[in-house]
Amino acid sequence: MTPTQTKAPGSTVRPGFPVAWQQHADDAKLFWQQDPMHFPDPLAPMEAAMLQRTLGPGFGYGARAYSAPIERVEVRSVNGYLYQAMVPVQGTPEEMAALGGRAEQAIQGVVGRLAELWDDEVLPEVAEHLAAWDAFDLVGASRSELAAHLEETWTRLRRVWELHFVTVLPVYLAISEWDELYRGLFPDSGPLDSYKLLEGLPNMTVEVGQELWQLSRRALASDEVRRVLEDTPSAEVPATLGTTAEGRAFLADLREYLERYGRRADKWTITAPSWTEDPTPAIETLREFARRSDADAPDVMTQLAAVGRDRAIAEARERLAGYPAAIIGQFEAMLSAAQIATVLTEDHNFWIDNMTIHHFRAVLLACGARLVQDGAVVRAEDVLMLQPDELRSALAAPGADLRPVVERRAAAMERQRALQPPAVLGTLPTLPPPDDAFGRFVAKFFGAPPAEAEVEGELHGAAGSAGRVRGTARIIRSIADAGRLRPGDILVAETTAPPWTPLFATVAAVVTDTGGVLSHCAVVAREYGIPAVVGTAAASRVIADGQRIEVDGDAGVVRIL
Amino acid sequence: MCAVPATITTSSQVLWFEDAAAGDPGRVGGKAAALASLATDHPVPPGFVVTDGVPEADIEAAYEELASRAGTPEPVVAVRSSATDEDGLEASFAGQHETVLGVQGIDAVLEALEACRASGRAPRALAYRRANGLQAPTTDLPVLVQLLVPADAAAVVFSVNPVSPYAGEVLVNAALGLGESIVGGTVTPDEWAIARPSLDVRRRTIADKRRMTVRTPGGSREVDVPVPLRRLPSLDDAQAREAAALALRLECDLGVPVDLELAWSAGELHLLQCRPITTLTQEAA
Repeated sequence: MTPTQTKAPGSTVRPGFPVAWQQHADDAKLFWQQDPMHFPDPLAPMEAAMLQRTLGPGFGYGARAYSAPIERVEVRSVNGYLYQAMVPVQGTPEEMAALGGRAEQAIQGVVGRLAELWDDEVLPEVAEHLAAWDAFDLVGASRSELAAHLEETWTRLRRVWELHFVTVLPVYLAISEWDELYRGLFPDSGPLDSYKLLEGLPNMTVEVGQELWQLSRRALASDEVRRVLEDTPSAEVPATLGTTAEGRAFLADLREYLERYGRRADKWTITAPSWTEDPTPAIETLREFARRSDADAPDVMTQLAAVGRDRAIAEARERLAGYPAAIIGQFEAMLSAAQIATVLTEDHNFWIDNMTIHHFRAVLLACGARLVQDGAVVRAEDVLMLQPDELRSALAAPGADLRPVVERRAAAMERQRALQPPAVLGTLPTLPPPDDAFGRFVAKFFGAPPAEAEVEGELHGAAGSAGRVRGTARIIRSIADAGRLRPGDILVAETTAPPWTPLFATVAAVVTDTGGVLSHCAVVAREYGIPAVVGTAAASRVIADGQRIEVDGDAGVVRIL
Repeated sequence: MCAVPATITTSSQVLWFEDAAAGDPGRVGGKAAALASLATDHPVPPGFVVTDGVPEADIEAAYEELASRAGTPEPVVAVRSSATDEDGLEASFAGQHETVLGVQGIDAVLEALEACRASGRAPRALAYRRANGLQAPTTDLPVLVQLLVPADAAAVVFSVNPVSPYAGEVLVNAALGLGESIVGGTVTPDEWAIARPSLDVRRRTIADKRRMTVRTPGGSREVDVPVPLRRLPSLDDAQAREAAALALRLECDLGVPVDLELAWSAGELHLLQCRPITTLTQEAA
């Protein structure tokens, strides 16, 4: 967290990716890291504004809440790509040591009460915000009511993202420190062994998959519904179901499922419709599930993981039988905290990340519909190309023609899509990240730079989930592509957002370009018991679609066969 | 005080700490005699001494008796040699004779006992004796069998700070687990400097403790402490002061500065060893 500034600013600039730091004078002195795991694609202007107003302040708020040595977190969109810089606290060694002591105390205090933090403080407050969004009539509201709701939405977003980081910082630290503890107690263990003791616990991501699976069993019980799923293109499934009584009954179940679990998009972006808006991705997965036998049920995997977890816990306890009570006490406390934290890595995503993106998009599209009536834009989605101030003005005083600006920015985004954003910008730190609890967690979440492969045809990443398997690589860019996955295929992607995870039930392994052992993809792969190699940096570009590959999840290696 | 008149018994037998004869260093060795005399007033884990020529059946019976006292069928014990002139004021004998920790079951006890006896006949021990002007033994060493405390934390306590004897303080060095890592010097222990006689904590240094000794089925083993736990305090202040108070009491009983080995198990303090501080008494002489 303490980058020192010796290298010349701008030394990271790459040809074809021009950087002009004009907005803020100190930007060139900061160390900027791109986050391809959450934001692989160029950002729409409204989304960049949202992240600047939520992600940066929220992260900074969480860091300060726990006295982490971070003064603030800055977020910029550079050529459409999201970069974040953590600005370290500057102080004398004594001040830094005192801060470090306070941080350790604060974190230890909260790690012991993660369940209370989430159940009693964070979730009830998040639920209030979600209820307020739900209660607002986006279609029936007057123009001024809608404008006021938009302003209120900005305030709510900012608060919910503060709560997000109040939750995730101790959550990931709890898991990261558990891993340190486990590997310290059992130095002969493999890189994923500590996570076995955290697997198979019920969480929202798994529930979303299991409930969809249940729906697929109901579909198979009706010949009519099964035929519709087999023969009809996904986009036409709802309409076709509506033509028969059995179909309508199933459609009602599907709608109920979407109402409950569908406030999530295929990526972490307001540019993607959530399942309630466009259920095609959910229907794609449903069709895939309907092709599988009962033996592939996700809860079978979860139960297997739970059995493996309990066995691993019993073994560890046995090995610690002769250890001092204080060590055993810490083992039990940190295990329990890490288990709760593992569930929260998924649950916070369901309730915060996905829900806020869903509601913000809904509010924006409702504003967009008014602008379409005004003739200011062509489609409601065009508001995503505006800046917050432009949208506010357009709602307050109709009349301006925003079509040219939308067109210009959409074209720019299209051009940006072809860019290869460098991983880092600005001033490189001369020291490696510190080997403290916070530094270790950052590396495990975002992934450390992968080791250079020395063998031809080998890609190195982080061991994400154990096991070794061979299969056909399918390069999947979005959930819309998922229909190409066949049982036994290996899912290869830049990154996988939580809504992708039902796919994990049908593939043999997962390989990603980004992320570390604590990334969502790795966590969920372990839940489903399939091998995963994450953070390879290049798999989705180097591996060709249809190529035979071998995934070695224990070693973190992918081999092209 | 520890001067217990020696009862002369001619037959070889198992002597429990509470037997009067167990206080005779000439019969049971210095280490066992010291423990036996401490056991009357202090929390010494129960044990017995096996002198030369005790029949195996008696040893078995004694181990069973220990089991009933410990309330467990096969208690884990420490088996140690206790030379008749060991732990005297002249030479500490530290480390010259065998100690087997974590012994469980009668067969293992008998085996450990033989190992301890053999160590008394070993060339290294005989050479140490010669160098210290002691005679070679004519009989096998007495061997001490004592309930092993499943220590959560252990401490070495000096009733007088051996580095600065005039500072007026008791020094407590403690670490997690069994005491071997402290005694063997493989861990930098937590340290408390406690004022005498007020027992106020003057200094407390929680060290980065990288190693600890844990119990294993066959004995004990030294292992690494995981990074996140290295600064976990091994004792709280109350425990450190409890240790210092015991050291002052024993110093008063024995009339010389002492060093102690202590262990805590399930919150209970146990006294494992008490010896005069040899280096200090030599300086003072």
